[in-house]
Amino acid sequence: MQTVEIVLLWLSIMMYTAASVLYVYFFVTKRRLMSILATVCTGSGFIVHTATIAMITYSLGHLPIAGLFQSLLLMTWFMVLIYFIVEHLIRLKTLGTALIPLTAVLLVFAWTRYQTPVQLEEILQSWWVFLHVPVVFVAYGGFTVGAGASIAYLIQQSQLKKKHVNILFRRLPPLDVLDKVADRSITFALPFLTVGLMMGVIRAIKSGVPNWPLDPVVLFAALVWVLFGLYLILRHFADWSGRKAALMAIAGFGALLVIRFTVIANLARFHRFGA
Amino acid sequence: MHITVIGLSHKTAPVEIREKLSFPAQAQADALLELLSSEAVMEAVILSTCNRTEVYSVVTDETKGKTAVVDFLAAHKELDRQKLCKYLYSHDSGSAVRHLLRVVSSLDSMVVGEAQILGQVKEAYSYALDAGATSTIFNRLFRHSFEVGKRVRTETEIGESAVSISYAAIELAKKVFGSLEGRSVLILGAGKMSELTAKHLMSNGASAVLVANRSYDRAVELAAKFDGTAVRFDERVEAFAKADIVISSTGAAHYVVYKDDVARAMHARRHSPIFFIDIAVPRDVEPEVNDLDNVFLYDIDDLQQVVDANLAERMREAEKVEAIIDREIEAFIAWVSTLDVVPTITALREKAERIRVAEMEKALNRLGELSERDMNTINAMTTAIVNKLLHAPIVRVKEHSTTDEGYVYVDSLRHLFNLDAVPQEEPHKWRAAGALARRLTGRKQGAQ
Repeated sequence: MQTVEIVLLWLSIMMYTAASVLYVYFFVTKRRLMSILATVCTGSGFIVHTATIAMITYSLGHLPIAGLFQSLLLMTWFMVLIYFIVEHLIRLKTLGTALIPLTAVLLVFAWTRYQTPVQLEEILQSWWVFLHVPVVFVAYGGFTVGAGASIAYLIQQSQLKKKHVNILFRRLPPLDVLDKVADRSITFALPFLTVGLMMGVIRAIKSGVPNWPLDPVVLFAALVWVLFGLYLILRHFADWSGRKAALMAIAGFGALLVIRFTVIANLARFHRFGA
Repeated sequence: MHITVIGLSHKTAPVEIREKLSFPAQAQADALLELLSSEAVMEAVILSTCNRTEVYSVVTDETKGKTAVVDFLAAHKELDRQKLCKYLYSHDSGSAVRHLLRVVSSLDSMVVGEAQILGQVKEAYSYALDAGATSTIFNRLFRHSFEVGKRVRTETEIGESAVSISYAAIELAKKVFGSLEGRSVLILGAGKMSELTAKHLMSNGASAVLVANRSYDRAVELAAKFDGTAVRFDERVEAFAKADIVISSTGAAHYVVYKDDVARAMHARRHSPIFFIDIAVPRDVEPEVNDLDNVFLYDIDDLQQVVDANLAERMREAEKVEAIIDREIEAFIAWVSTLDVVPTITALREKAERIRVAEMEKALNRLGELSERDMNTINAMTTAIVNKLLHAPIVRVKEHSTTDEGYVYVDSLRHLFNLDAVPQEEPHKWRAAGALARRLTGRKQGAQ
């Protein structure tokens, strides 16, 4: 990586870290100024993050999708983007308290997994793949928000049931809001996952990958798709809401994390990116 | 400085006394005029709420001013002075300022953190302003106190969480439903408490009201009050399907809502959340109802526990408020002191300069023709003498100006250098401020 790219990456990590501190401070003190500063820091971090990806894309000649470092760099970018949209739409600042620190941590983790870029395998050098990855990452962003809201829902619900009124209870949004955020962000994300997976499948068929349906990554992706699909079906046709729905969303997100950090790294067959 | 407050509140006086001593809006102007007719009182604000009556005043003399205020209270309300004094408290100077700031921050209220007091103080101030009863000091002090009141509300959570049973119920309902807009309420057992809670829920946006009562007539009666619907008591479980919030306070000796009933109702309501508020003793709702998904049950003890936790939280916040007040008092006292010290220093410098110029002219006349160099030397020398002589007192008086005894030094300086004796040459503004400063320091003009 070039020095400029490294500097930019660390600059964005620093911005996100500063934003995280501000978000937490805002969560505790509820001072408006803190929340504005947090948003400004996140915004500047995001701009630098974008610049980093642009520089890397330029020097690689393609979007950074190969290997854990590159894909995390891209994935966190979509996470922040979607968080921004959610924050703008429903003014749910408390979400940032969980999501922005996660972004910072993931970026640092990505840095520790940096490897010298390798030539992409021929099979992956296709526009289908370059679209497949970002579209799937948009879905990841939506699922992350949904899972975050679901975790907050479970915490808040258990506080209400146990009649604990502490600072966490005061700060977390109402159950109804958390339930709706989870529902909507997953409803938003699933079509992206569907389209993203379809692109992958088309590419696999077109390039004649043998036994592609048995690839562990494909199998796990299908599982995630089924879990979140089931989530929406149960919500809308079986009146699932609240705790059960939240657990389901968290299960789906868990499966997604397994793919991201275990399956792709260890079991992948054609989802390998370099020789 | 002599800002004083004399008054009584729920902490010192029973309601029989407080109600006698109230000053309604229409009586304020006359009362303020009467108060100002006393020579000792320069500015006044009368704060009168159901929990307190307080007279804030700027007085020329501490004892005389206080006597005037107490006389006024006793005379105006035709009370026995002796008896009245038993209930009164008074604060002076810094402690009066602190008292006002604590009052606007609602630290001194019956329910710490309640929101009305700031508005009430603003009202009291505007009566005084309209009646011409305030001037430099109170205009500054009261406006300053409103800023503090606002700051306290935004920077601390002193007034955030509910501290009564029915408000706690609403706070909890909001944590479940977000907004109460469009939610429906079922009142089970038409009692005073459930009626009150339902009223609060309605004013927070809840729309429909259902009432179920053993006596159907009573249910119809109460439902009419809310523009709602009466439900037969036997059909209460069916009503759960339509209600989001159930307030139960029947006089039944056993449960009237069982887990199985609610489980069935949950099916009918497509598992959307339902919130039970059980304020009956003995309890109406089987406690296991709380174990069902999307069902939340709070009984009277749970609500009390929430209220206690919230009160404890307010007490913790109150400490932060005290810290804010400490800083703000310092800021105010510093302002009052500068009001005092700046014109004094200016007057001192001006007087010295006047003397220097006059004496130099005399000397130059006697010396006759001098070279420009000699003139400059004499000029520089006299200036240096004056500056060096005045340097130490000016620095000292500035240093002390922000302390409690600051006025002693300012006052001594004015007295020793006879700074108030040349009013015709003092700029008008400074003269007024000087008089004000003397008023604050409690020295009468005649004493100098």
